[in-house]
Amino acid sequence: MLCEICGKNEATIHIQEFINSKKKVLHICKVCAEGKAAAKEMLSGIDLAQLMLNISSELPPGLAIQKNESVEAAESPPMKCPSCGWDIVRFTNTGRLGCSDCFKTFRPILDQAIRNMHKGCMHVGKKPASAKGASQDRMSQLIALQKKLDDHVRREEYEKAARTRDKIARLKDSLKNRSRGRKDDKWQSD
Amino acid sequence: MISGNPIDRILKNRVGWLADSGPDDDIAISSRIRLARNLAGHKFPPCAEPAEHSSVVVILRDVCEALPAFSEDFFVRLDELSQLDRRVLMERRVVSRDFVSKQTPSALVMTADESASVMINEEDHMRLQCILSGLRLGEIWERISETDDLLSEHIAFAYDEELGFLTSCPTNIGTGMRASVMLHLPGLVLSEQINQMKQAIGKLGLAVRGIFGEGTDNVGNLYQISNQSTLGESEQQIIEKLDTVIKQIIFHEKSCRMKMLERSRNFLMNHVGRAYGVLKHAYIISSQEALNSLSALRLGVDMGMFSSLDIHTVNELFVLVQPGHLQKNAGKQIENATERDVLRAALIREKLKSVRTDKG
Repeated sequence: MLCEICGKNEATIHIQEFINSKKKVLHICKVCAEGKAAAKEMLSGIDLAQLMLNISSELPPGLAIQKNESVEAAESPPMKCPSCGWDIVRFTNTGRLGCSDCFKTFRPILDQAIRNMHKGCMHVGKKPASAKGASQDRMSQLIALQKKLDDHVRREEYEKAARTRDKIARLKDSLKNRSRGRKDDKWQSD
Repeated sequence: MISGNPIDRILKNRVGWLADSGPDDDIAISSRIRLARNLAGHKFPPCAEPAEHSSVVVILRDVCEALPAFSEDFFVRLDELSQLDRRVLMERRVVSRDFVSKQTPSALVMTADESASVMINEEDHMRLQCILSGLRLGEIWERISETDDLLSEHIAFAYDEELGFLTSCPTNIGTGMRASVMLHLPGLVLSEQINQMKQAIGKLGLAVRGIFGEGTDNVGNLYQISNQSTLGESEQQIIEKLDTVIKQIIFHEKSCRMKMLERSRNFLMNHVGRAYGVLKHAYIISSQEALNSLSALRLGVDMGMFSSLDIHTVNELFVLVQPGHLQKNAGKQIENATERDVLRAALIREKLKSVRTDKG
């Protein structure tokens, strides 16, 4: 696919935006993307977009393939956090989220961005006192799987990577259900 | 906890992260770690209404007051501080550039020695930071993690099993930790190897920035190296990696200096000597020229050209010559830049009054 701006280079960067609640996908080449970021028009305030451009050339081959796919969000708007009212327009304008629940609301677009900006997609650092001791076994299992996935991708073993990814997804689902129940309790008691 | 304006008191102190000795502090001037934390069940600062900002300030003040660890610390509401006082805190790196311009209810908790502080309602409800001289990320981590543990026993932080600590900007989720080291790299700059080094650091997933904000890349040859990624690695892993990279950079900086001393001694001596001449005798000097000349002078001190000058005195001048400190020490606001340039030159001359170059 050719770049929608210059029409010359191959489009390797795909940016999805919501303007006045309407979804718009832009397919552009790296040169035009950098120009756009500098002009701060289309991408004004989107740190995420800037970040994606910055690291697009530094990803390992396995991830680079994912990156060339369009950043697909789930359903079209209205994408608005039910807890705090923060919407997609404010998210893209500021690059900031409104509350903890925004991470669930904007998950479809966040996932790709998080993968691009961080070394992994699973927290492995310290936990607050309230979370200690919970889900320890599954968490360490998940961390081990995540490392395995990274190894597969590095060795370009895509079939194995896909199987490991499915395992991770199942484990994450079960973890999510558990932590959701626990968190709701905590917020009620607070 | 002590309430009120701490600025006049801290101005009498030397700036710890510049004035104290620390490991490798000839090149690694200071190390800093900050943690971003939010209260569970509260909107993040960019989304919250002023009333919620105020209640977060009250909650966190009460928690800090209840903890013995904070009993000697200062608590100050940002609206009690003038713009000049805020600027002084920013120049001393106690608070961030963004925090200085906050209009919404915000507050600051800081230790009397300025080594630790908590910004309340910056971009996140809490930004804890600890800053010490030299390369000592491990020591800082132990200290800040202890404070974090203490707080987490009393406050429910916004946390997710998968994404870690939740922050208003997704670039900070996970550990919520940014670790950085400020390096003085005149050798790499003079031998034109700095861009190569910056590229290499970037490829390792670390960020390189000038220390005086956006676009101040070359001022004073001071660079801040920090981690970019905060999710998927533990705090220890991030710190160990950063530490290893920093040690490599220090090694390269030292070998650059040695090579220049061997191969282009006159060039190097000329660079330092001219800067010393300017600092010692100028009557009008801009902030940028002062910082660049101080960098050259610092290099000269490191190479043993000025035995009568302590490197920490030069370090402190990097802060004292900045506009906020100049005005605060003069006891008045000075809008006119040239007037500040005159004051700056006088301050530097005074500080370097008794300094002589060594023969050789």
